[in-house]
Amino acid sequence: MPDLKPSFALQGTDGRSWLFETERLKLQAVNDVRKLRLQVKPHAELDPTPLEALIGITLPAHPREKADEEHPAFWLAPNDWLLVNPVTAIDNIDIALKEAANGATSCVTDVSDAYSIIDISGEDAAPKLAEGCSVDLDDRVFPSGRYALTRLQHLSVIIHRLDGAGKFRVLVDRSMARFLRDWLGDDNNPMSLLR
Amino acid sequence: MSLSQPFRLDSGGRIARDRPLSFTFNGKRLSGYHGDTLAAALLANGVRVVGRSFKFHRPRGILGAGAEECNALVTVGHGALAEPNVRATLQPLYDGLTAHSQNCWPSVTCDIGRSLDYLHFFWPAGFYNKTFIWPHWHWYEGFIRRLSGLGKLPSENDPDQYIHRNIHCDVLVVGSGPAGLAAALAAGERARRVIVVEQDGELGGSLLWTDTRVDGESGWVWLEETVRKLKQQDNVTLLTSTTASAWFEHNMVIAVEQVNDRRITGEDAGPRQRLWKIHAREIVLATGALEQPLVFANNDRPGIMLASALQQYCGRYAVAPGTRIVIAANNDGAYAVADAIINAGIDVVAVIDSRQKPAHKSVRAMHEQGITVFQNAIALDCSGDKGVQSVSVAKRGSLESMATLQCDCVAMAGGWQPAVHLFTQARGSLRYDSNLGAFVPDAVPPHVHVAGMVTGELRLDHALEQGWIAGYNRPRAGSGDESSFRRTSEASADNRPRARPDGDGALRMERVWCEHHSARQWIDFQHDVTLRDIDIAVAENYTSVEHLKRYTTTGMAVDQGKTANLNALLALAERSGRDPGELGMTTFRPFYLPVTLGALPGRNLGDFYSAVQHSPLADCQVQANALVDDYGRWRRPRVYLRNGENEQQAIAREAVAARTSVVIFDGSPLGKIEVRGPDAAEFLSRLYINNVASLNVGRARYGLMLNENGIIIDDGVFARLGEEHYLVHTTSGGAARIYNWMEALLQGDWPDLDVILTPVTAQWANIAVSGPHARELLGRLETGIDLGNQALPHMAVTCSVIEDVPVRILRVSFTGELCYEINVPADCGAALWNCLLRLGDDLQVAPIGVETLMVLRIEKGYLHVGSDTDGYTTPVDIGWGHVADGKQGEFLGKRSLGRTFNLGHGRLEFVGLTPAQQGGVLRAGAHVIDADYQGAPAPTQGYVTSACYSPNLQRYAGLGLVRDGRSRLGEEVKVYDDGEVHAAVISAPVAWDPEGERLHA
Repeated sequence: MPDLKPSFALQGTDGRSWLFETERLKLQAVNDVRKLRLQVKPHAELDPTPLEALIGITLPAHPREKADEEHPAFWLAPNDWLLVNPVTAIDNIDIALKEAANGATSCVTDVSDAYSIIDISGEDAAPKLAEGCSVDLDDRVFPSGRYALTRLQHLSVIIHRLDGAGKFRVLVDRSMARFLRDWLGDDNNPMSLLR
Repeated sequence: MSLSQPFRLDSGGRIARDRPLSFTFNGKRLSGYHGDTLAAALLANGVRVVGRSFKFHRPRGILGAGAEECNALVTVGHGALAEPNVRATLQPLYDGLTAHSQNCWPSVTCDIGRSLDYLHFFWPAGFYNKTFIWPHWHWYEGFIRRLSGLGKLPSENDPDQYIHRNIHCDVLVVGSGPAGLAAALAAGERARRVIVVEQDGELGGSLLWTDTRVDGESGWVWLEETVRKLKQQDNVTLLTSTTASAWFEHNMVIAVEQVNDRRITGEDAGPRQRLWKIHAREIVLATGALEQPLVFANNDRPGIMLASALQQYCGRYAVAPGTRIVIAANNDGAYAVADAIINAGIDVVAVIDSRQKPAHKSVRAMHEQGITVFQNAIALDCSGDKGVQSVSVAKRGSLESMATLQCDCVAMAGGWQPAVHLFTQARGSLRYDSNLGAFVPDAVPPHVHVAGMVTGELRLDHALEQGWIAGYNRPRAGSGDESSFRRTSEASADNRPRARPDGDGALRMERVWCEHHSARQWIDFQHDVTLRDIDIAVAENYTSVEHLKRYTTTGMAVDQGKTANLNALLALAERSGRDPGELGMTTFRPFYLPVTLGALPGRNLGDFYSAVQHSPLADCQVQANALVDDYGRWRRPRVYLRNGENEQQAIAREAVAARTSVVIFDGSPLGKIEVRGPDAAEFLSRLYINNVASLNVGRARYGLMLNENGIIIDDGVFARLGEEHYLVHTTSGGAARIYNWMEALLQGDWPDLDVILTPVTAQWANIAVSGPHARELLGRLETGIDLGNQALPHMAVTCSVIEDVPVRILRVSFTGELCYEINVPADCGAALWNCLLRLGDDLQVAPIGVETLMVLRIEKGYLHVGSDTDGYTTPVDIGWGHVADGKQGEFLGKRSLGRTFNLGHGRLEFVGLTPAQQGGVLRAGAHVIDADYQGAPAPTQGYVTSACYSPNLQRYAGLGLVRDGRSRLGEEVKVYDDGEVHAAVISAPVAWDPEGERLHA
């Protein structure tokens, strides 16, 4: 089998991660990040302690909680999480999840390629997102670490606030990533962010 | 007064006299000042006739000074930047502005359309519905459509940009008059996020033109100080030139802000408008009130305007709308206006007060200044075609003129209707206030507060208090928060703005009609609805306000009845002997003011109209010179062009290559859902009409999904990857829909099933390698996977991990050839694609597009759900009845398949269609008709669902749904296609390799 060198949805012609930068806005693709989806039969009673010990973070029990910046776990649905950049191999996590599930049906799916990530930072980051997203991104309401499963320009996304200075991470379905990239970086309208 | 602007006062106003502006109106160059509206500048220049009425083309002047304006609608700008139906009262003046009157020809002062006015007896309310029905509406339609409408839309594309923006706040204050500013101050004190929305370019509302005192200061000084305070507060956002136009659920208010007008700036310095979606916890509506006109004969003459507008032009813009002014009134408010006008140095001729006993103090004050007050009298009629010249006065109840007053302006003080538009949109209810003679808020909905004139409150001190309390979001009785409210409000009470009590706030209004007058009395100025039209409507028993509106058209069009609804309603109430409160108001719907079409979609246009999905192989396709197109949401290659080929030539080349050599196809958009759990087989068995339980691990099966009515909704291959692990393929367009449907069934209908679903469409790149040399090409990848018929026969699947890359190979085919679908993680897809092209160079491997795939599947007679099925097609119709019959157990739609309708004769059945003659043509969409039918139209026997020219069959090939088609194989029919008729033979769907030998090669 020949070497199948990965190429990402958002990368520049030089092969590096796509980058768009203006004085007030920086958009940066974050490629080659492992992502796992952990699912247990809904309503099954879990004992997540050993699993959480393994992955080093607490699995959120509700939507719109806080998530770790480096190794976040996002709540997608009851007993359904997305782990980004997990510290452990998928097989170990699978074993720990089965243990946590106490015999209930569970599975771990590698979805590393199913999502693309764009980091958005700069003075205009929040206003830019507010053009297409109705979540209140004010740092008093949506502080650092908080995330939301929401819609951005009609796309299903996860928006994760990385710091109080207005840096956000957006996870979007890989097939929609270029559309979102074009929309975010639409420099047809550089003044659209005035105010 | 200035020479160049003869009606400009020498002093006063808030205009910048050091910033003169030049503009043109109907081609005539005029001048004004920064701070003027177009209406103010026109009045300052003595322009009386600004527009023409909609129906009778009567000359019209400026009636109001704000959103209520219904006469002075003009077109501003030209070319692509022209904007029709602009209220001159809301258009800020700028240097170089060009404006034109509308609905007139050849000019606004001499309009041929006025002839309709002279024949007005023929055009009363309802004439339209009664007259243009014989012999047919369409006889008149073209003529009427040419006549109707006001401004003309520019034919060029709008060069401006519009954007949307979500914003959240704790308190949204709509309106920045005294009550709104008090609310903003109170809300700002509580360190909340506060947004103040003001339609005008300047905060202050009525403070801008009335002589008031707040906190011991003049209104302007207090306003300046308050605005300064609010601007200093980080938690307060002030949005001026922004109209809150609509309220929606969850307290979301749509507001449109004027950001950049390139007609002013001359450059693309930002979006023209920003549409704010304001999500507010609490809303304070301080939207004020709209003054109403009086109803008397010829009350639409240019020069007749609302009294509050006249006061505004004097006080804010230093413009005298006339030199000799008569004030006609039915309430106490007129005397304050008279005072203001007199103080501005303008001559007030008389006050005509329809009440028997106006306030003695007010009347005496007028007398002291030598101004006649006609009590218990009404304005009877007025003269002057292009501008009012005189008003005749009569005693109430009399049609006999007792005096004729020479004047050039008449101010109408007809009472106030609170601007309750947003309030009612927010589900607030109204009640009729007989003192005010108008509808005021009654039950206030949760999280909405009202303050100021919108409540019917006319006293400034009360308005300030209401605003302050509303800003603190007074809790509802019984909510348990009253004590905390008291504490906070008391603690801040020292900061509350105050004004001296100014009277008792009662209007003491009496509404009087001039009955039995032969001349027309206007109710709706814009739509030319008169009191007589109301009489006709009542005579014809249109006694509901909603029916009255539709019969007479009152309250329709651009102004939405801001100055017409109340008078029409009160006239109806009086004529039908009912209380106005019993009749109720017509419904106020969004938007309060017209919204530019461009603001509604914002940037959701062109490339951003709808989200586009890209395959992980998108770049490879571009490199291979693909002609791309949108298939559903997916952007996919139609075909790959080579060496100057056109599309048809490329399709033919690719289709032949697929049958003779080897081709690769990007199948990544194919929907993929993993189904896992002990009940996975049972779950899928309920979804597919096929037998799922009998499928062995490592094998795949083509299946159909039905809805509850037995109708085919999707198809695809499902594969068993493990004992409790299946991979379901859906159609490309159906991936999200089918996944959501499956989840809904699991969560809602079958929660007892132990199944987990994982959508993985975007995770995998899928490349189909198809053709006689497919195995050879795939073998060159050296995966170590046995691709032979024994190990991997048709409809088999194998999974492996090769050098850390997971690989899934399914041997399935949509081309009718030997075919393998290789699935690798999406990020590896491009590398695999390029590798296959490189390794297959000597085999002349070619990528093929979607259109070529369609040719191949039509040749093979493969069904394409959506193209070859419609909303009625069942498995029986496509020849799969035996599969459904043979299925043990239940599945969705099974019961419906037994319905009489689904079993009867005459069903449209899936068949092939072959041209009867050499060179015959078939096109999708063409109708099948009986071969012996002569003439047209012919009863349809079905239609061609898919068709193409087949380079492999060297003829056209088609598929279709034909009535009882399977029992008519071999029958010749006609195919009617847009005027052309071709002969065709009904055949079996499969035209290529009917035995399927090539699939198993």
